[in-house]
Amino acid sequence: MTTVGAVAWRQAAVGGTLIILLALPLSRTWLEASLVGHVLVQMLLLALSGWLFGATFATRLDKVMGRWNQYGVAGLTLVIFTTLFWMLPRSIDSAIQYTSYEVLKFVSLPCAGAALVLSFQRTNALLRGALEANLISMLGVLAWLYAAAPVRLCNSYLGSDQEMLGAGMALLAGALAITWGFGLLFGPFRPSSVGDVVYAAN
Amino acid sequence: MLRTAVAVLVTVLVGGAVLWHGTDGLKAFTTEGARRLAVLEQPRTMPDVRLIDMRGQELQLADENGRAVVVEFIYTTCPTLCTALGESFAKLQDAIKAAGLANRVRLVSISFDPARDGLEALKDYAEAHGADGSLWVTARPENELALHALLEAFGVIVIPDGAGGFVHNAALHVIDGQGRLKAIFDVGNEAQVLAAVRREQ
Repeated sequence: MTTVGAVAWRQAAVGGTLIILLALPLSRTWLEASLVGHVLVQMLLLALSGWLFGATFATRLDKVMGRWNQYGVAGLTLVIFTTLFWMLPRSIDSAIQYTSYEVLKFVSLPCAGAALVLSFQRTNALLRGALEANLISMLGVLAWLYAAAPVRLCNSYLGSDQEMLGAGMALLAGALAITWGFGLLFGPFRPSSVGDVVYAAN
Repeated sequence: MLRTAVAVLVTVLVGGAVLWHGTDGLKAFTTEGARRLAVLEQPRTMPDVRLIDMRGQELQLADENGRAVVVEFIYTTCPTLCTALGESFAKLQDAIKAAGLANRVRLVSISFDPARDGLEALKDYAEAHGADGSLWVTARPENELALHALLEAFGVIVIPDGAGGFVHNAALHVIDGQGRLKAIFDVGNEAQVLAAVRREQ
């Protein structure tokens, strides 16, 4: 029987509190008033809450679902589809207009966050790198799209909101590129350590 | 591995179906695109609300003589987009007269800001843009209820711009003689509007 430690429980409690706080009418109104608040704060925090849950119960969930998610392929597929759906301007608008989309958002994004933490470490390093590079390029393209589009893409938001979201996505893409690039250059896969391994093998 | 393959297949099928549904078969990625596609595929009957025109006369969107109606939404204190809408309607008015369709079509500029747009404001806007009162009228819904019913039916979303004005999805809406919204065009596409109106004759 696997036990979940006190620290992990605290982690799950933070995830649960986060979802409850995000679901409060006041915070929903406040965050959804701007595109940056809606997409880059609320949606990312929803995914983070799922991540915290997934990380807490990773061992238990792996026992139940591990065989359905070898190498993390199924989980990452879920993450990709969820991300694709919620980056569409129409989906963002619909979450404001229809309760069904709002509910879908509050369910799908935490699930995607949990799927990500359960799957990312199971996949091989090469695929992880490809996904990270793809996320950075996708964010870059979206940033350009939102910042440079000559028309409003979301009927529920101002054009200036759209430009701010574009700038926010560009900043996020830059921050991820720097963080992951730093890890590549100075982490366990830095060029010199790979060379050491090759030498050792010879 | 078989279970994983099944899980991936199910995820792809469900995810693909949700994406397909949420974009009308990968044809509409924005709310505005979806609104336009929806009326093209399924013309939508407009609510039978009462409007008051710039002369204080009652007006129904569904014309009793079966004339087509082109509708735009405005607010008269708008400094930018509504001016472009007014210019677009002025061009359309000229084109309709030149095509000999003046007695087959009506142009209606509807204000979504009835609090500020009284009859005087509607009259001033009409004069400023050349609305002649017969072919082209400016109007306002008779009350808030009628306004919300209209905006909802047309799929027009009005949001405050933070500077005392509004932002809205501006477009030219073509309604047929039976009061059904049949097509929506960008401001400036008067030729396409005229062609759509001709098809209604």
